[in-house]
Amino acid sequence: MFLYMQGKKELLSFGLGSISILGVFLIWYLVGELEVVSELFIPHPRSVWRAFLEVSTDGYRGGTLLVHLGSSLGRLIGGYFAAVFLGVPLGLLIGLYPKARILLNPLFEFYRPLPPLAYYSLLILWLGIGELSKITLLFLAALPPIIMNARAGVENIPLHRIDAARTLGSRPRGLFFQVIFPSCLPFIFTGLRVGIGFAYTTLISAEIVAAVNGIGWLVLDAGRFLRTDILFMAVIVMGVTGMVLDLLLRTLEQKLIPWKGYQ
Amino acid sequence: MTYKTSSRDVKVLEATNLDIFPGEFVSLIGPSGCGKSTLLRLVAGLLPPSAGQILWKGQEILGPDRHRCLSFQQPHLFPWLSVQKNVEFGPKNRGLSRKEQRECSNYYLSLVKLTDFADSYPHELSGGMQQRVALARALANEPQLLLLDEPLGALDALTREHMQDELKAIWQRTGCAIILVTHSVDEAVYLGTRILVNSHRPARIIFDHPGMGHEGREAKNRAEFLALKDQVLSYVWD
Repeated sequence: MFLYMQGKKELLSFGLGSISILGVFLIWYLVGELEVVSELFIPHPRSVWRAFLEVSTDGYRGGTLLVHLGSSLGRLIGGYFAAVFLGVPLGLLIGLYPKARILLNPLFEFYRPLPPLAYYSLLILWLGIGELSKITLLFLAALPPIIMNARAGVENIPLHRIDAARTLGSRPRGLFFQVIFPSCLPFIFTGLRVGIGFAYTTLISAEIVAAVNGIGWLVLDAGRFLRTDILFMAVIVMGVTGMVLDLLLRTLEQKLIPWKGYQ
Repeated sequence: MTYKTSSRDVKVLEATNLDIFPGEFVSLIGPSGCGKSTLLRLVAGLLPPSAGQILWKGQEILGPDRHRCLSFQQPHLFPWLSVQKNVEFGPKNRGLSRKEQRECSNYYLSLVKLTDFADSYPHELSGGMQQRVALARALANEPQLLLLDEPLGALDALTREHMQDELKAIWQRTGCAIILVTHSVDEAVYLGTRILVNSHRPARIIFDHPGMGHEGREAKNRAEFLALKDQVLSYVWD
């Protein structure tokens, strides 16, 4: 019964969500049909679809859509995974050891609110205009939320849960893998989702400077040449890709921690 | 025993001399904040005493031990483990083989009548069922002393009545000693073979009397049960 209700509820929210998307599309379509605004500003959906087919097959300035998307996602994944593998252990460490927190916090608090673009020029200066500076930028963008959430995970473990484990014979060393780490998983996942969002929004910044491919670069370059149809298409592709990435993480989260939200 | 807080040290337990014997069911009752939970944590070995000592079979208690298991008002199950794996947590830590772990968890799950829910996860169970899992998890270590910190406090009245009988049955079957902290006089008198009443902070034991722990549910209607309840209550309110 409960599952059925939940299914129905999901269907309802999906339906309502589709209505808003369809509504916007309809307005866009009407604007295009009635030629209210010049194609230069708002291209007809048909032109955008043609641009999609054109860039998908013939490519845009040396690469098909898939190539551009692929090189962007490659950078994203590179920077993001580095942030996950460093950020999660570091966050747990800061949460577990007050001394690590005292040592690292001032540094972290300084770097955390900096907009990534502020230090991007410096990264280019140090690491060159190739892939390394871009990946490093995405890495630095994804890192803070991952660290902060892993740390919050440790700080939010119910103390009685630790007591329960100890009274059931957990040794201090086993305690980490038996209780602390799994207890932190819901928070860690929140960090992973926010982190990929931060990295993704920084992607376009990373591709502003000295890139010759990538979906972010495609948006900028099409804008520069007033190819509004391609620009629209690329923005839509970026949006959909972002949604898919979040959906992937959410699905993984539901698989791994179905108990999230319960104590 | 003093308890350190950020602002001041609170003296929680006054020189408490207390002997607990094997197989006893001790009900401990007293006003809130009088240090009942602290006493349990001390006996469990989760908290070192600031003064004095607690002996377990003549040896000073230095840390947690599987023979002294503590269970809380909230079940505090491990939400990522199935019911069965929760119960096997202790047996696994004591190094039993996989087969022995399974036998052990099966036995204690049947004891708390949750065999059918072995593969469920804690969040899929009701509060009363979760508390029974917590009990099975504590029992699976086959402790000689079970420390229960208001295990029935968060349950609704009907479930609570029922769980009292289950607790009594489990105590009779396993033969372990139990210290039960409770806020219910009725529960203390009905379950305990011995009733202790703590005073306000710093707590001293002001009442130590045999309870009706060996009797059945019909004892609740007897005049002596009601008289004992009144007597305990007068000490609690004093």
